[in-house]
Amino acid sequence: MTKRRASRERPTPRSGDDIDHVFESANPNPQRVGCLSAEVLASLAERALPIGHPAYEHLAYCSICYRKFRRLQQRS
Amino acid sequence: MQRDHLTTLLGETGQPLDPRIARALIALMPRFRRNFPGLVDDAVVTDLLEKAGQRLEAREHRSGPLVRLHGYAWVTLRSVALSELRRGALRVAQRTVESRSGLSRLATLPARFGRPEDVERATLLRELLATLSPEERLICVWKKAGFSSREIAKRQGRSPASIDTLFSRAKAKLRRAVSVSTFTPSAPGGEPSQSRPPGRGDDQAQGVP
Repeated sequence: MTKRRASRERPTPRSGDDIDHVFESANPNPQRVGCLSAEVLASLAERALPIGHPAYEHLAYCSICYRKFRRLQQRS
Repeated sequence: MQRDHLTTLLGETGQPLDPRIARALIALMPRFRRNFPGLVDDAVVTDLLEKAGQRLEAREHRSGPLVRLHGYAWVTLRSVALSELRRGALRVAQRTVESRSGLSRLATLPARFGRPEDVERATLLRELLATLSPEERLICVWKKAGFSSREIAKRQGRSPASIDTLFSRAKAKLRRAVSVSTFTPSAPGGEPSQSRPPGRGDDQAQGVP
């Protein structure tokens, strides 16, 4: 039970679901407005930034950064 | 090839060709175009005309005015053109797809990106994603980043259960969006298809990023 709760609390990144499918393509952002640097993306992928960091909000509106973020997560 | 070539065709000495010869050569242009459709570069054609004209001038210089200038001019021009075509430089020109024919060939190639159905699908996804509230979007991203419902709830000033509910609702919306957008009736082969294998993305319950 404890183990199950722990896995719910700290879910591991998984790719290829509906969220990824939509977020990776629905926000093209061709002008790259407000795009994140490689360092910030790496920090996001490592969960090194606090939950209140504005970079998370950008991921919700930029498919390019979201894709990079997910690739970095899967690599690490 | 226009009439102004009469004045621009030059002989070996750099002087304009004999107008009679130049006129005969210009008159052959339609026939030349028909016989050598691959030679479209005006500079190359002018060079060929000048070479042919120079040969004709040399011939007339040696043995007097040619009686059947038109016929002789054609034989000379064709000979010069065939010689040029066998040279390496023009082999490249022959193998090069010209812009007009290139476009027609491109038009027959099937597109792999940016097809109408891709654009439609992207637009549909964008519209469906817009149905998520800013908070639902952010929760999806936080979940993907690995934050727990409890951490998100603390940040949002909500209960973990309400975060789970919001996340489930967002996932349900997105699942509907994906099921609609991945239906591609015009897929190759003419059969309706799914752009990704079924079953993936069927997240169980809650909290699965």
